[in-house]
Amino acid sequence: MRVSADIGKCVGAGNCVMNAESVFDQDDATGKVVVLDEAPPESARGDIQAAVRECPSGAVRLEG
Amino acid sequence: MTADTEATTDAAPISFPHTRGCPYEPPAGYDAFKGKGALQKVVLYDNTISWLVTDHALARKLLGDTRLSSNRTHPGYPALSPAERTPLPFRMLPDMDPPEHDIQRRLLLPSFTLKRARQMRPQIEKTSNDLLDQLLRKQPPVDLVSEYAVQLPMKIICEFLGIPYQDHAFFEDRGYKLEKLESVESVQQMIGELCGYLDELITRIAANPDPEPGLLPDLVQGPLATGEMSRQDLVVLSLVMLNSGHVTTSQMIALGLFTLFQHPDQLAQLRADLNLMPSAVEELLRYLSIADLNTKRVAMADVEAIDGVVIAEGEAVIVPNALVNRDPGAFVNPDVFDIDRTDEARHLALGFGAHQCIGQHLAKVEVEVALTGLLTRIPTLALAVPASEVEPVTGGVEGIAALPVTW
Repeated sequence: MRVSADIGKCVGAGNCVMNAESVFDQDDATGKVVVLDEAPPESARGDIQAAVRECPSGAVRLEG
Repeated sequence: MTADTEATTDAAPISFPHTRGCPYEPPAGYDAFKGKGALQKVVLYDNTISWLVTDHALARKLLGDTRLSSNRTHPGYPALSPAERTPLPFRMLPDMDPPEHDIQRRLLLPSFTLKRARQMRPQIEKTSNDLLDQLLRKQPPVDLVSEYAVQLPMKIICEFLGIPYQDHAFFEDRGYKLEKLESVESVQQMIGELCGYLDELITRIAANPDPEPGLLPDLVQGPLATGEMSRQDLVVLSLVMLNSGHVTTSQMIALGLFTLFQHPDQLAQLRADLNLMPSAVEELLRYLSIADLNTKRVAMADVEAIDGVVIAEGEAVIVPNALVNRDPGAFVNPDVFDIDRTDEARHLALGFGAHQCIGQHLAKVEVEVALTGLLTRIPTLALAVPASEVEPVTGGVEGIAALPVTW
């Protein structure tokens, strides 16, 4: 499982942090997404899927 | 219009919008749209036709599509009253498209993160407690709207933006008149007065080497000073943040409490387990959909919305929150108020796409704190009049004018 984010697309809504706090954060200086854990444990899959689904700009991705 | 779209909308378009009877329920007229397709046509006050999105998944898809514009000055953009066509000499953030929109939004993002909203919780709790101290010294019944629900978000947004709270009567009055969208003249006058006030305030802040803390002084000393943002942009942006920061949040608190009173089993469940508060606030956002008519677009290109149905360039699109947030395809028993929902779908009450409410985290913390304070500090809090006497106010945001409570 691999998590990535596209800063260019990010609109800083923070929905990813709301759904998967152990994997995503918002950068203090820009408000945009920061991936804290690019290879998170399987137990986080449901939360990450929700983060991907709820990202309003399609900026966060989950592969594998 | 293609032959295909005619096939899906052979009935005469229903007029739109409709007004609420019960403040926390969608207008009865919305029943006419149920089961008639994800995309329907409606006729507006000026006899123009607009697409109406009733399907949650389609709403998400369209609101994420950059070919749909938020430019309210476009002749094809749907207006629900003459006041919504008020010509203004500038664009506001919610009316902008990329890249203009993204440039302004980017300057605000660091101040509106989830972390920042959480950091504000103690300050919001203190403000809530102070207001409840004052409230409890009064002889019930008292009006919860004016004595609490309006004051809490107003104090918080003033502190957050660095706008003097002592002037609140002025911008509260103008703000509420503006939100009512009564007439072109009224909208222009209210915006003019509010911009005049904010312009003077910005002058004072810029001249003060040590201004009060807040986002507005930060923007004055940052992007305004460096020329990254024009003065007019800053004035207009401040107006948007100020008004968006209190009107909707106040109604979420007031109408939210009324809704809980009207669903005693849910209220009892929440009182018994206040850990349900974040989930209860999400459900209130979904169920109430108070910014029902705020999400509107105009197509900048032909957009295939669903199989065979094209929203043609220049056509209007309305996404009523109260319809898509009660889509049975997305929510189990959508008309049931359930503070412990497990649906995979999330409400679109705060929008979706590039325009998703930038203040959503702050607003949610405020509503959570406001309701928690009421329920914990006044355990016997109850409605002081028959529910039928709590009347809806209509305008830009759904809500109630007064909520008499006792304890």
